[in-house]
Amino acid sequence: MTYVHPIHPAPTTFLKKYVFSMDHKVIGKQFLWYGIFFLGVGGMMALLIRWTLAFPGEPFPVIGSILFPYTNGVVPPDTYSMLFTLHGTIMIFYAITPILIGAFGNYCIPLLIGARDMAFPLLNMLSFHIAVVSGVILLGSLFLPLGGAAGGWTSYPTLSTAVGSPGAGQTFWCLAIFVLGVSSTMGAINYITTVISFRAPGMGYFDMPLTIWGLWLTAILNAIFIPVLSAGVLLLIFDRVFGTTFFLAGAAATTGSGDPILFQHVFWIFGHPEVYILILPAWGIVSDILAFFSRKPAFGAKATALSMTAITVLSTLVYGHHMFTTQMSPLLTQTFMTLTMTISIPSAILFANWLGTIWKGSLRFDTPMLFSLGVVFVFGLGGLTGLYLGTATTDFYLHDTYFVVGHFHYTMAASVLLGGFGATYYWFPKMFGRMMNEFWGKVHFWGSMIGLNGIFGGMLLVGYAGMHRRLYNPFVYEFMQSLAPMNLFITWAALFMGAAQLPFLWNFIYSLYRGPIAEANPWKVGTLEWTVPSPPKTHNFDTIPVVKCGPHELGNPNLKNGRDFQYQTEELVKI
Amino acid sequence: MNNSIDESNEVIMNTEVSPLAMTVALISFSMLFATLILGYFIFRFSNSAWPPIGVPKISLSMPLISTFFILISSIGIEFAKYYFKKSNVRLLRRTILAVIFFGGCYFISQINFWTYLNVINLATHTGIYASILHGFTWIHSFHVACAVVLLISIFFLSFKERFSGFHYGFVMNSFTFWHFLTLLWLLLFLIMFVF
Amino acid sequence: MMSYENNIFLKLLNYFLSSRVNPATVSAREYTLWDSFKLPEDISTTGKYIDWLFNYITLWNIFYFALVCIGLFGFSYLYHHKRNKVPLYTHGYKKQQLAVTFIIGLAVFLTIDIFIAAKSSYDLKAYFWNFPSENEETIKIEVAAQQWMWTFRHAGPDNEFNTVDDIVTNHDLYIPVNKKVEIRLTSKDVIHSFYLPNARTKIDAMPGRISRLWFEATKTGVFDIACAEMCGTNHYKMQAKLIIYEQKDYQEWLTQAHKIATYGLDPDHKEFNWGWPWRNEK
Repeated sequence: MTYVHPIHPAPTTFLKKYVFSMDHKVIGKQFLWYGIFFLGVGGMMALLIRWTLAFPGEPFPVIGSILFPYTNGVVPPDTYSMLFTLHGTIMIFYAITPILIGAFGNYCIPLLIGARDMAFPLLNMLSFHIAVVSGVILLGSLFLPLGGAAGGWTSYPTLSTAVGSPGAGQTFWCLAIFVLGVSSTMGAINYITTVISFRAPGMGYFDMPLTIWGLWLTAILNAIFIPVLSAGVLLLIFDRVFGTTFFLAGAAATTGSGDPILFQHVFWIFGHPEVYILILPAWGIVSDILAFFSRKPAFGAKATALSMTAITVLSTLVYGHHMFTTQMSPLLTQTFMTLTMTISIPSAILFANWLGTIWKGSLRFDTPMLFSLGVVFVFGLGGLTGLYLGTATTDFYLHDTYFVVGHFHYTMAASVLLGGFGATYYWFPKMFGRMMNEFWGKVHFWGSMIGLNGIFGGMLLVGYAGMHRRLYNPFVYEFMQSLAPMNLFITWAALFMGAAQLPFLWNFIYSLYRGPIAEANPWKVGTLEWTVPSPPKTHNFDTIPVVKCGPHELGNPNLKNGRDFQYQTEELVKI
Repeated sequence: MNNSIDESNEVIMNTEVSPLAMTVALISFSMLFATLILGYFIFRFSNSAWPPIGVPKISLSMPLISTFFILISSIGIEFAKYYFKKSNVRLLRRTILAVIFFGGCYFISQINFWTYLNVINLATHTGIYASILHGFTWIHSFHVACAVVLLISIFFLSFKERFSGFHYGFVMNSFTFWHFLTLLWLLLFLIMFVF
Repeated sequence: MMSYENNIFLKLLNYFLSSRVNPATVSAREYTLWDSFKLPEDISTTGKYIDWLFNYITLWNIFYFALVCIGLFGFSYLYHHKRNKVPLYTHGYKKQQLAVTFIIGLAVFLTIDIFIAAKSSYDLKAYFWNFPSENEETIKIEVAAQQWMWTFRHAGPDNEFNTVDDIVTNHDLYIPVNKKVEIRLTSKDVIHSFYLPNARTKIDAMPGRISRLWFEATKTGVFDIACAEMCGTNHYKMQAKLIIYEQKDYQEWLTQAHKIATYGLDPDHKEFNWGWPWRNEK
């Protein structure tokens, strides 16, 4: 049975409309601004890191002397550690999660399943504001006397205990992550319940757009595994603040020692599902957009949904491949290696279905489609490089090198970012009632593709050549001195990538105010959000739609009314 | 507005949506404590002796007192549930106050327990055994404190007009949460103190 | 005739792509982009198995990625809406279509995954986890990792570790060529990782645990040892040198080092014991 929210009167005061709104659309946009802000902060940190690797010893231009007055503008080693730690943390938890899951999850789920709002609008609002508190804590840690956390985003003990990281920065980091975990779990509970209970009448699970599958599976993983990270991070706080010895061993622990490796296990039990949490929404969005812009149904949509589910389940079993060099028992090592290999099968099915979708289609290369095709490309590359890392012996060489960095940036940064950009161009008309500019969208796409492949392809190469991670100055090692030109190339690619975002920013802001007014269904697609005006009314649907066919009913030759697609509310036309 | 749709909607919300959300929430909380318990088992069974050699044996009396208080509070919750379903707001409020009282007793017994540990040389820095005893009970007690806050808010909400129907989900879920914490304490009591 | 001096494009390219790192930290030699593509020299007996597996995976990856690209670019060209006005209305559930999808999934799994998992397992058991047995003559070395340096200990003539005749070296690890070396290591503070790029291997050094690694060098020379786990501010400087001697040179070094190690025990040794009694002036 479907629960239906009654139509409440729309809020009137500024605070209730824009700050403390319980409308999922407003909360989605709030998460979007939040995520874009942190994307900028994390990106700036990445730039500082790349500068240091390309031009070691040289002051950072323009703002260097303001940021680092005591070293004449050169990035100091401790600050460098802080930069890569916070770059990772911010990009994963404060940029990707809020944009893909917070913004698009919140905005799209009720609209695509035919609901008026999330199951628990108050919980939704709290989820955003708690995320803001977490962001304040994390940014606040930068202003502490000893700076922010500097032990890597993985914050392994004993480096992240009071032994290795004095000062409050690491504690603030742990606290910020814990608070964000609370926000994410609240959101996950909301998403799961909404998808299960609020689907429009007639919408079975396989009539949901694949975007919803991606977001729903992500929420399930979030609900189960964020608390695992919370537990680990909580115990780390206890170690730092209350003197417990959960993760202290060796010289640091005087009696009855703990085990630093236990933190690694706990972290990666969360950490591996986390990377799938980050990519699942993008997979769902890409699967849908490829179908919509090929003007034909998604090939094997059910198989795609089931493959995503299979990957969700398998992702919980493979975390040990992050720990091959910690001397786990042979049985564990081989088990994790074999289980990691099994993820290839559903992933390959995803690719087969994506290519099957565009096969014999009638492709239109609007910006969302370009970005989705880009995701297929970069995820193909990134996913395949994972094979080297899942194999224990090659991982002995490649672990903690830039090969890993290149791999996860291809699969997380490139794929998710391109997917997120595609989603932005696709849903911008619905969110803001105006169209973004196509030409600058294409410029943004090609610039980003060239930039991303340059940066992370280069990283794969330097990793292959043996350059390991988290190095302030790699050139103290003789075997890496020959890698200076490639590091320089990567930095140029990064600068190019950064520059390619400027047309996007301009396009976004300009289109918000001056873009051409969008109609209700500019992309001519049949999912439920396009049956309502752009932007929708506060309560989304005047009458809850009744779903009669699937979300990808395009290209049916028997359609008679001049359209090449069917709305989900229309009876399926048989062939 | 058609009230009959609203009412039947409330029924769906209360019988399906709200319990579903609570189930997911309980899964999340369980995963937090499951991680802690997994860590506990790893520490315990990778140590040749448990408690580790040289560590004083703790008396069961204080954890038993905590168990007693929290069990009584759960019985109180059952009464509160009965009165809530019968819309007997007066007795509901009294029962909730009683549960809060026993929750408070539980707290005091926990604080006693922590002070006792510190006195018999089982402060947190003495090692992993003490860390586990302190850390896990702190986390559990914190969640009990949150549950007490929920009960206090139910107490104040009970004065509103649209209480029983409108806040059904919130009240029932809070009661479920309390029971969850009681069961959790029983589990922790058994694996950390008894066995 | 195109020469470097006359070609403005080559000059520009070189300006952008050649290294201009701080000469204080780098040797004066200029490197080009093409130098970045080379693996460190493999001087171990077991590294070749890793290199082989890496190349095997790469070949198959090129094959499958090429298929994906042919699909992506090919279909984008062939089925552009101007070229293909009518799309094929199919959900992909026909038997042949499902079969194709399934076969692709299985093909990837069988050609790459199963094989590399099996080969890697085999390599692990036959080589990497096949530690030298008691009977073999192994060079045994204990390594201590700390923030931010490496310390190496050889057992000395009595063949017992932690005795007064041990040879302890900082920053430099001396081993002979063509002999199996077993390294056992621990950390004094945070987690470090003992990384030998030229032997294609690394193992984490964890506080409270002893981990181990073995390898056999096939070439003399000086190579890098790096720390491959974030361990603090000077993680990037935590390097050591792997100095591989010919076997007789190693014996010579060992004798010399042992002599130096025991100077402290000889009260008459003038170079080592150069102090004098402390007298308080009246």
